[in-house]
Amino acid sequence: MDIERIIWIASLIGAILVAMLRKGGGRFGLLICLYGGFMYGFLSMAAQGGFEANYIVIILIINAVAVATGLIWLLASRAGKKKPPATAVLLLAVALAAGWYTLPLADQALPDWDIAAWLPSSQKGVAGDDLAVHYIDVGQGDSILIQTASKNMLIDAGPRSAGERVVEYLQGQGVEKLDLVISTHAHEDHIGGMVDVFTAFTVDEVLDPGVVHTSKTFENYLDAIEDEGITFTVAEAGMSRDLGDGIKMDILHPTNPSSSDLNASSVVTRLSYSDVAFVFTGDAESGDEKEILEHGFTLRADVLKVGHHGSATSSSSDFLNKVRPTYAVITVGEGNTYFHPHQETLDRFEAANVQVFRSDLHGDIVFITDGIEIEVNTERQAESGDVFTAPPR
Amino acid sequence: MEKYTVDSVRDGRVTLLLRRDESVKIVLPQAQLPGVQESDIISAAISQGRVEDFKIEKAETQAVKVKIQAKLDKLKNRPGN
Repeated sequence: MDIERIIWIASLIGAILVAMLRKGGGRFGLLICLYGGFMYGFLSMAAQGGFEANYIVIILIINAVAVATGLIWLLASRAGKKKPPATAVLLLAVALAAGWYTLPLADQALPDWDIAAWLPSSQKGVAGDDLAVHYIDVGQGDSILIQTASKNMLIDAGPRSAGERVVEYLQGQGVEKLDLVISTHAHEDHIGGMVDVFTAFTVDEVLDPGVVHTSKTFENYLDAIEDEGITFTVAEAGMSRDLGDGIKMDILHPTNPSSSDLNASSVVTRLSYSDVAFVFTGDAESGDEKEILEHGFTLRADVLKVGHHGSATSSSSDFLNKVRPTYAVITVGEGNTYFHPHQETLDRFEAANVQVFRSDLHGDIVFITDGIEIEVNTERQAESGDVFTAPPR
Repeated sequence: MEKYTVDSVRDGRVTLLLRRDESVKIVLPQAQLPGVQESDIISAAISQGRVEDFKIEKAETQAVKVKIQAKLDKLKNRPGN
């Protein structure tokens, strides 16, 4: 018997038994109340992503029938009838049978209704024990949302042209506040959307490599941090942030950032949750990878955000051999004028038997993990042959 | 000539941001802008993807660097950080 059936039947039987122990017409009112609590519990779990949305529709219908049963029974009891009316018994039987046969079929039986959209935004997000990492398709640039049940974190906000898209994506995931924002480095394709993000959401802290850039985009970003009163912290290798629920973010780079080479100032991080880990590289290149390797940090990760949009200047063999990812994500714009990702990089991942996802082909890419298993969802499908082929020059 | 910020110099490409509206981005082969470095502010005449003339505005670059560095230092040293 599947878990949904066990929970549902046990709750129903429990409610009836408790109701039967009480004397008088109030027992049926109690039954209704217990159903209310039962429904609330299910909805809460569903809101956190604990159940397929269609299960909730079915549960709502079944419970509506059961509550109607209780009401009919209650009214009959008050009218002096000792036995439950036939209508109530029939409705209860219908509710039981419907639950028994439809719960396990819910996700095939009904269209994919977006129940989460009906719920208050604060109830969206991830299930209690899950960690979700969203690689948002912002064209040529980076923006990554990390969500736990209690915290939201953003790495980069894409180019300026994608600021609104990032804000809308985060709102769609129920984000109201960002506990931590990491600006990997000052290039426009990574921080261009930050002002939009700071305007739309409360942000507790920004981690930044702390090196100067002369663009107005960077100046506006600093002004927004000042205006919004956001805590500003210079990121350094060796620092870490505890995201709660056993989830930790370690900062692996930079050590000595310089404004003369902004990519080399990239904040590189490793997110770990039980058996599962992610590495985020910003635009770090092979020299920075070497520096990280020399530091001796734990690098092994299941998912690697490929450095610098798949440029041949990143993802050195030595680095890949240490990370040994199962999955790699390349954040890259379709038809970009840098010809990213480069074929040499794709060849390295193919040779290492790494499953590659590309935002230009797959759109938004979302990893969900409970710390043991990893589930990957993409906005679009792509052929393996296309994934390992660089754009024509 | 228009003024641009050199946002990045990577993979044989220079990415320029138009200073009066940095939502305008131009990516050019590095060979067309010899000697430019990240964070340089330049004046350039660009027509149909080709640089006809350009000049690195060294004094302006330095002045902007100093101004933005001061903002950065203020954030770094702000109480509560």
